[in-house]
Amino acid sequence: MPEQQTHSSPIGWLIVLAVGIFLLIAPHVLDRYPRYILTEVVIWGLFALGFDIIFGKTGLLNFGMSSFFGLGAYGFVFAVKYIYPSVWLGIFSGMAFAMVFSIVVGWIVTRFSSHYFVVFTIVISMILFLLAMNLRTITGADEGINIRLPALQVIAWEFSLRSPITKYYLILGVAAAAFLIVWLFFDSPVGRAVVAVRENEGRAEMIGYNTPYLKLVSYTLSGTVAGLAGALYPLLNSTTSAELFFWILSGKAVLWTVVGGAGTLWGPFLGAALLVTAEDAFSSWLVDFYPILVGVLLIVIILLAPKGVLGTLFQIVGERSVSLRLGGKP
Amino acid sequence: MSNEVVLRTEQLTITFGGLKALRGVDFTIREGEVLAIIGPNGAGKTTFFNVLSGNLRPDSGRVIFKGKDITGLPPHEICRRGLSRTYQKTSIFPDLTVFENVRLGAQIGHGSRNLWLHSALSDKKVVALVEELLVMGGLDHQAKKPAGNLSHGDQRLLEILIGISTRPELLLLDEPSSGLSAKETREITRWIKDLAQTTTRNVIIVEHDMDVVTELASAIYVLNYGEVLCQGPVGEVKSNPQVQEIYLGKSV
Repeated sequence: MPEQQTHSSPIGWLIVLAVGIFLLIAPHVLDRYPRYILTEVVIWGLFALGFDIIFGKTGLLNFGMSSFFGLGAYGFVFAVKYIYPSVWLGIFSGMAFAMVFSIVVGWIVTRFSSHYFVVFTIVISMILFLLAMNLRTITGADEGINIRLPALQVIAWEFSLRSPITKYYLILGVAAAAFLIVWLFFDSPVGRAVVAVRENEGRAEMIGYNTPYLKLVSYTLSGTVAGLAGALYPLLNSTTSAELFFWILSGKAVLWTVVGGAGTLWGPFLGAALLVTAEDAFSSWLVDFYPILVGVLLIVIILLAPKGVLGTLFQIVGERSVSLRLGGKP
Repeated sequence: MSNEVVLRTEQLTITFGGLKALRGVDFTIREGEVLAIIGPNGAGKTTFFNVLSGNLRPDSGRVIFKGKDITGLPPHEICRRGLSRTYQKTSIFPDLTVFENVRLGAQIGHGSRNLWLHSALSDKKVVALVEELLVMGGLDHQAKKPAGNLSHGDQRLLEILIGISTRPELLLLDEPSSGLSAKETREITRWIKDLAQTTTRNVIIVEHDMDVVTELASAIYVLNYGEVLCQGPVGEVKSNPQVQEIYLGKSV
């Protein structure tokens, strides 16, 4: 993946700027429902970003991303409901739940080769789902737990989270901060070494990298980001349920990332935006048959852009800029 | 031969199933030497490299590198102590740029203070080293290409550049001429010779091509069925009748 070229492209930064401005003014120009969808897309995109870290950047197919999302959501709810009514504590707690879990599980699963890794991640997420469904008194199972959101404290100010616009900005801000950290990580020497593991693990080891350790670092970052996204879910919806652990959600993270462009970091957000809005539009138009349309859309995207929308775009731009730069030289 | 010993092995033995791939191999390389290992297919040459680089753990015997026992250490640890290798079958990072391929090794060999809290490209020393290596290998014009798009010959060169990007004190070259044309082989041989006279002075090379061996090495170890059949200066080994019979046969 041509990651080096994209960093320095001025057009790329212009697009980022335009999207940034859109995201900042969007809640004021959008109606209630599209604004809700947009907020949700930010959460799903952040969740898929977690998957992109372990899959797109590290080359490990984690098919159990829902574990982290569910833990993040319950971490938020438990902290706010039982410990102290603070949104920040909830977000931190959701993230910490997912992080501790990902360190423990990651320590085990990153020792296995890729096929076993996939199976293990599925099995572990199914175990968590069944636990959450059976421990009804704690988790509320499929009915879940509802919470009353406390006001948001920012230093001396207080904001009511009854306003969906406040919620939107809070969620967008948290997601943007997480994205920035992930982006900086993959620009650092360690982050680039993680990509080397994806490309050729044996060689990475032979030039001095402790690859099991790098995989654990990536697994933990991946789980923590997905858990953070999970913590934002009850913040948006004031509820959480055991179904967040279900494998379908893991599958969606895979789809969003692959469609948007695995390994690009921006791709998961684009993929989530495309598929969530498409699904929403199709389902209001063709109530019964919309999955067929979504399927057709997926096939078209994969045929036109085998590396995902952004992956393929970056590849074209990268090749062009290389040929331009090398044009005059032998 | 009073130079300091860089690496030596004592009675290295390893068995795969019932097959003894190495039987009590004693080997010594001293400061400033380029040694070649030859032998028929399956003689244990690559296995020997795999043991030195930590990819395989020997059943018995020891590997002493710079006076310290490194037997059984993991590859990354051995690399960080100054031993690097290349592979017979090209092993690069295909989707990353040529520049990044070399930079990944250089950032280790050049020990920046920490590897977390700064942009990788902001490390001027590492970038300078990479540029130097790319110029040395003549790949500087292709620095921004994905490594997988290079020609086979250039990939063989990149393979060695990655190997020396960590600034090793001992370099193991596994058939550097593998798959190259006669002309390319001559070029890469001359290039390795330069390398051995300048930056990376201690080299062990596994090679089939006797011209390459004669050009580069000062002495040869002959492996056969996992055993050191004989060793000595190139001319001496080439004229050894036993060696001619089992390996060089008709070709010399």
